Amino acid sequence: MSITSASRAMLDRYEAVRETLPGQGIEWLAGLREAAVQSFGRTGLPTPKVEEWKYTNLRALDGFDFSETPGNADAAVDLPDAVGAGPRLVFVDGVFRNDLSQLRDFDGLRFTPLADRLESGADLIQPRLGDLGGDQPLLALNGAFLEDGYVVEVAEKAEIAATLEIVFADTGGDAPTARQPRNMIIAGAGSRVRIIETHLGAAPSQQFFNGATMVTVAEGATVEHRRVQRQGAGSVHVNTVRARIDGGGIYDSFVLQQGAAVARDEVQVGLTAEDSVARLNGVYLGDGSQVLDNTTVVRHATRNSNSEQLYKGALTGSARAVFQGNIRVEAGADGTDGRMTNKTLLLSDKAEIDTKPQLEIFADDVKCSHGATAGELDDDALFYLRARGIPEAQARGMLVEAFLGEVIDGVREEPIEPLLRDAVGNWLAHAQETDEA
Amino acid sequence: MSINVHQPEEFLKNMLEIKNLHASVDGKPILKGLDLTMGPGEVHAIMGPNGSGKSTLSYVIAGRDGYEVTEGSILFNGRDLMEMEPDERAGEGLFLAFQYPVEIPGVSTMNFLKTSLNAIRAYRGEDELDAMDFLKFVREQTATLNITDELLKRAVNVGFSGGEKKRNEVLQMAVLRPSLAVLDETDSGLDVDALKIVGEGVTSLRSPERSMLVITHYQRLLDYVVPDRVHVLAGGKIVASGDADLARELEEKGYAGFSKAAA
Ligand SMILES: Nc1ncnc2c1ncn2[C@@H]1O[C@H](COP(=O)(O)OP(=O)(O)OP(=O)(O)O)[C@@H](O)[C@H]1O
Ligand SMILES: [Mg+2]
Repeated sequence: MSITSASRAMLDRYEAVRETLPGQGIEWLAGLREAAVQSFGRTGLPTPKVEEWKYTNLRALDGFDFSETPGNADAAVDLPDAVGAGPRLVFVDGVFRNDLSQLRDFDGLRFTPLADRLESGADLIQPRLGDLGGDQPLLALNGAFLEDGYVVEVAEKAEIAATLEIVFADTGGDAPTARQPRNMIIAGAGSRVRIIETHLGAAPSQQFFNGATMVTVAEGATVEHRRVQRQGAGSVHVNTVRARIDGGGIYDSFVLQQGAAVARDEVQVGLTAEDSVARLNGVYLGDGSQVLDNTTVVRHATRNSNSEQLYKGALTGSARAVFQGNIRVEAGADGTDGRMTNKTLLLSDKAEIDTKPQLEIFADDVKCSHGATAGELDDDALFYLRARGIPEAQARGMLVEAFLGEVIDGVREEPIEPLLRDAVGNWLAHAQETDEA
Repeated sequence: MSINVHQPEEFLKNMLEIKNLHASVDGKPILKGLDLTMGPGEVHAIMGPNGSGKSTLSYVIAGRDGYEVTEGSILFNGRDLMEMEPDERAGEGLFLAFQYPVEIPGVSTMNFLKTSLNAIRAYRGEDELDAMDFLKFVREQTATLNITDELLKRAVNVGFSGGEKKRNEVLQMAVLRPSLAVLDETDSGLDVDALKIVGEGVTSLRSPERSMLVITHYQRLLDYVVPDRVHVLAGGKIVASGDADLARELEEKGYAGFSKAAA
């Protein structure tokens, strides 16, 4: 089987830099990298011939020259305001920046860069670094290059009041860069934590971001995981989250996808015990020729687990969005409740949504549903608003905000809410500008 | 020798002046030479059979897309209405109470009222009302219309009963204070009590600066809002006009005689 030229370039790059990758001298890590690169070499990057990647093509990467991936880790960066008074880790061009971060101690919390845990936390870290999700090429690639990321470890019963913040910033030099952090969220039984992860990029930049986050939600724990994707206009962004949820645990995920040329946020959830819950929600705002993909794979492995998904987005220009939602209910997983909904507003003739809900049910007594709609703004509503004196651009904005309101309401009064509302406002203003041009 | 009396221009101007209006929807001619003139503060009623073009006229006045004026003109306070966007018309003081008010999920009625009022104020170069003043002002209007705070919190017209939708239209008129209000069957689908509320609500908004064009099938609203003129619209034009008595006559005898005149 032949692999794409970008895949070949990455393998070459690996050979060139293997001696300089983080964690030199840690034998088990070198072994994991080796296994991962072997795995990746067998398939290379996925192409649309692979069913799961039919609608999102990574061929843009063929145009990236990865022979030099300099990065500019000392650069001054324009960071957004912190979302609150909580601790914040900042990574610039793949490197942890102590000078830009705020490390604060909380009882029951260890929140550090991965590099700090490679030696001391090997037992915890190792299995999570070795997880390639059954030879998933992007996880394998991430496992081979493996850069610094964040580790959140919450002790049993600890409830962390502050929102933990992580910023991945790309300064956007001239040469293409590849960033491949691996992160971990490990929530002990009965604990509670909220994390907001922001991905920023200077535009235009040719950055390939291939991140992976391994989440473990122990019995009765709650993890709220927020992701804001606003990478630079030339970027390719792939972020894979793998979450394992124990009895009574809740994994609550929300993603805003707005940046990059091609982006995919993929959440893979295993509901492994009774009363485990996954809530997966997202908003996507696309314009120009962006491709924004949200993919979810939810596996109900035992009785009485629960999943809810709502993804809504608005597209203009010739932007395209993809929603692939897969709910799999294993034999014996009776009492499963699994629901997913995807709704898209298409604000221009050329905007497009490919939505593929999939239910695979091997148990009898289950409640599963999926719904997908796509449509334009309601002309009657638009006229009604205008007849009340509201100018067209403002009226359209109100209707888009109203449409997205249903999903934004799910994170009401969280630090991400004002970010979302601003994002929608800015996106609308920009979309309307480019429509007029 | 002659004496020329010059009245101030404002006084001479008609509020609404429709001349030989022809309009089509989807290429189908609906209005076929309609003339109508209204002075400031006047209330005119339009009656006419189903499908005669009453709502079409209201949409043409409000500037709805797809309602194409093929001939004729509409002047509003001496200005060409056709040159204006729907929101500019509202800014100039025009208001249409819809026959079928539109549902807008996700936008609360309160927010809608506030955004509308502030948009119109901005159009006129006035400052936005602050939140407290606005709330006070709205409460004054809702009291007489028997509209609850709970209704104001709900999304615009979503799940409203027929009567609530119509009262909401009158509320909007009360808040936006237009100089010309076109009321398209605002009395349809109302029970006796609601009719009273709407009738009194509309009447209280009657003023020398505010004209109203009341489209209706029934005398009952006109018992509250007694019109200066009544017109019969049939076959796309005004085929008869008279005083308030004409409405009573129509309710008794129907349109049989007039429809023929239109054909
Ligand atoms: N989009 C459209 N396409 C074709 N014909 C239309 C369209 N909209 C309205 N019409 C036609 O125009 C005519 C006038 O309709 P209009 O709604 O103005 O009548 P109306 O006088 O308000 O009737 P009613 O008393 O039932 O409210 C009708 O024959 C109607 O079918
Ligand atoms: Mg009508």
